[in-house]
Amino acid sequence: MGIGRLLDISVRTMATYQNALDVTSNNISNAGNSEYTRQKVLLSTEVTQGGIGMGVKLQDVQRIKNNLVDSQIRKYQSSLSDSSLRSEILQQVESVIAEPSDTGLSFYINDFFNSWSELSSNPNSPQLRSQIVQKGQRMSDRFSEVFEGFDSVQTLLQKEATTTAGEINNSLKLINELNQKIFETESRGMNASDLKDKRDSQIDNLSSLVNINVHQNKQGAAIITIGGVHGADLNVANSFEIDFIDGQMKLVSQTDSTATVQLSGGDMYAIADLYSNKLPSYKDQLGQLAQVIVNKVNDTHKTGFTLAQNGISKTNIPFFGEMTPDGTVVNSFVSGKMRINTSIFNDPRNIAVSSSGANDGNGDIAVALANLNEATIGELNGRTILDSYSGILSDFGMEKSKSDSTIESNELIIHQLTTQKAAYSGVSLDEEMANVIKFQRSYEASAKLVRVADEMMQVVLNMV
Amino acid sequence: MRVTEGLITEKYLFNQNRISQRKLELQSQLTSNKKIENLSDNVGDAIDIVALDSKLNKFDSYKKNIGNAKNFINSSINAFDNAISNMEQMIQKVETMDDAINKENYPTIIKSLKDSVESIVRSLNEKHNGMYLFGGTNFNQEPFALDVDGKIVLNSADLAGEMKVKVGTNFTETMNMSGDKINNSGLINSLNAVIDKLNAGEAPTKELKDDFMQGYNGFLALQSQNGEKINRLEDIELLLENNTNNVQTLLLDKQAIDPAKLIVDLQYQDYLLQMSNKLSASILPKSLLDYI
Repeated sequence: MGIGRLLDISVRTMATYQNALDVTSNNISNAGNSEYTRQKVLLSTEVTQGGIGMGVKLQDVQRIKNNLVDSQIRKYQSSLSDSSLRSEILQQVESVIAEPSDTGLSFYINDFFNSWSELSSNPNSPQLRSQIVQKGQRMSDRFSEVFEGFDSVQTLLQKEATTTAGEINNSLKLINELNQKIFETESRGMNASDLKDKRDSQIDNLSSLVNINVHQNKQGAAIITIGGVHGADLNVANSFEIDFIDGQMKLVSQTDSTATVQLSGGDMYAIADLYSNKLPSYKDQLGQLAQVIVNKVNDTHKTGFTLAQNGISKTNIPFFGEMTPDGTVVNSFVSGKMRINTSIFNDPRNIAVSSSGANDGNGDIAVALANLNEATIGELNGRTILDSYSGILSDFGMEKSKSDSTIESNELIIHQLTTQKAAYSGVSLDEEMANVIKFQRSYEASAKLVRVADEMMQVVLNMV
Repeated sequence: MRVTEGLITEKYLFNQNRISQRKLELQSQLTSNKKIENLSDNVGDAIDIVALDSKLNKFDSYKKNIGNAKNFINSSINAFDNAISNMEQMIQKVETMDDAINKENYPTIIKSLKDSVESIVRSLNEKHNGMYLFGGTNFNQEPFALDVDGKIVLNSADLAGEMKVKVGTNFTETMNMSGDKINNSGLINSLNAVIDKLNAGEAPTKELKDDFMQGYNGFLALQSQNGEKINRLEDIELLLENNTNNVQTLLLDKQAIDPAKLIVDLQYQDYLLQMSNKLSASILPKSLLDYI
């Protein structure tokens, strides 16, 4: 029995170190896999028999993981994805706004009002009158382009939202399936490290799509909630869809439409917030500004008299829109378009800049119209047109700038956390190669012990 | 702290990305020659640039208006000069009528005087860019005419209008000399009184000649007002020019790049990138693996 024990220990030891080498080789082969969590062989002493040690055994193969770092990475990843997508979308809007440049709205607004100023020096000039119509049209076209730009970004966001909801559903389904596979694998007493890596990767991916909360139950299943709504566990995976409630884009459960996700991070939050709040707000503010310009220009223009035609100057003519018989101005600003009065568009002599009839050389109203660009306006909270426009630009610019700086800080934090994760869970080739040598030597030594045991057996046999 | 291959790679890529981003930013500024290309590059400065650009556009518009107004006033001055020249000729001719020798030449002198009056009316009805110089703001009728007796009459009911032109923020200048002012200078009445006398075949009396001289002096005073207007507009133009220069300097401060500084910075970033690559090339593949 004595020599048998020696063989026993040696064989078990060889098997143990072979397994250890398997784990090490798995680590080495996954050194370049960023999703991989290094595994560590836990060796322990075999239970002694009769006071004599029985060698070594492989107690466990452990995933070296820091859950706190993982959850922090997910939290900041969620915020980074939100800011990145937000910045990307706002960049598209920024190119539509095109400030500061000679193609921005400010240029066209100034150009329009300056053309009134120029008309004051030659009020009956057909060229300057045509120029006002052209510049009014260009300003209108530019406003229209900006509104269309906003609309096309919103349409894009709508499509993006549907795609993202699909990705969320897909991710939840995969997590649910992996939960089940991990449970089944571990129930059979097998190691599910690789499946857990896949699940972690999927959870990381989900965290970039939407804000999530993750915890593990007793069976080791990852329980996911999305903005307070159940997402996935061991048994089920919820599905979500996009719904529009009071003009607000919402992510709701397909099985219970009252279960609305409280979005606060990830791509989905950026999409929903830009679609529902930010873009409509910029659009509304610009729309109000355009409406104020239209109303103020009309109010002043209506007090003026046109060039005399057949000795008669007309008055009470709006520059934008048409006058109905009851004296109401209609169609002045429709669907983001400022519409120049057709009678003016077709005949610029109908531009009314004289403060008295049949006085074609009077440009008092042209001066008053040019002065609108410098006047503080009650409807714009006592600000000038340019100040009001600058306020909109400031709101927009700050949002984009905030997103950009959030990206920068989040990237830095994530880099720090990823560094921590790489230091804790990453594979060190030096360490693994040292282990290879250590395990190989132990294996070789055990093999030698077998030979020793064999020789001892031969000695015993030769005694017979 | 364990230093793993993944950690070294992560660090290398992170740094390389940051350096490359900075290089891209510098390259973009150098090629566009602008510090701020987008609103979000620097919101405060971008909004300042919008405001400064707007000021420059307004100044350009004011300068254009001043140019137009000066041309209009210069045309007025030329018309005045012609009228004054005719008046001076009239004064000389009227003086010759006092000489008894010239009595038989009265018809020729009277015709010549009436021709001068006609020239004066032509000058007062001159236009600039289709606008009557002295018609107030009423461009539908010639401001002055000659009646059957060859006297100057107002041809329009309203010659008082002022053509105001915008030359600054909430600031206008009147560019025309209204027909009313010419009429109120006393020139037309005194001229007409002289013509009445001429039509009677008589030489103008001393009182009439004195009145005419007074009217002539009144007209000269109006001419000097035109000159004052030009001077005032030139002062405003100079002020606008200075303001334009100031705003352009501010704009340059906000927008202009310092190419030398950017190139040095770009070069420095390039050194950093090379250093990072060199270090990584020597560190990244090295492990115990290389020595086994």
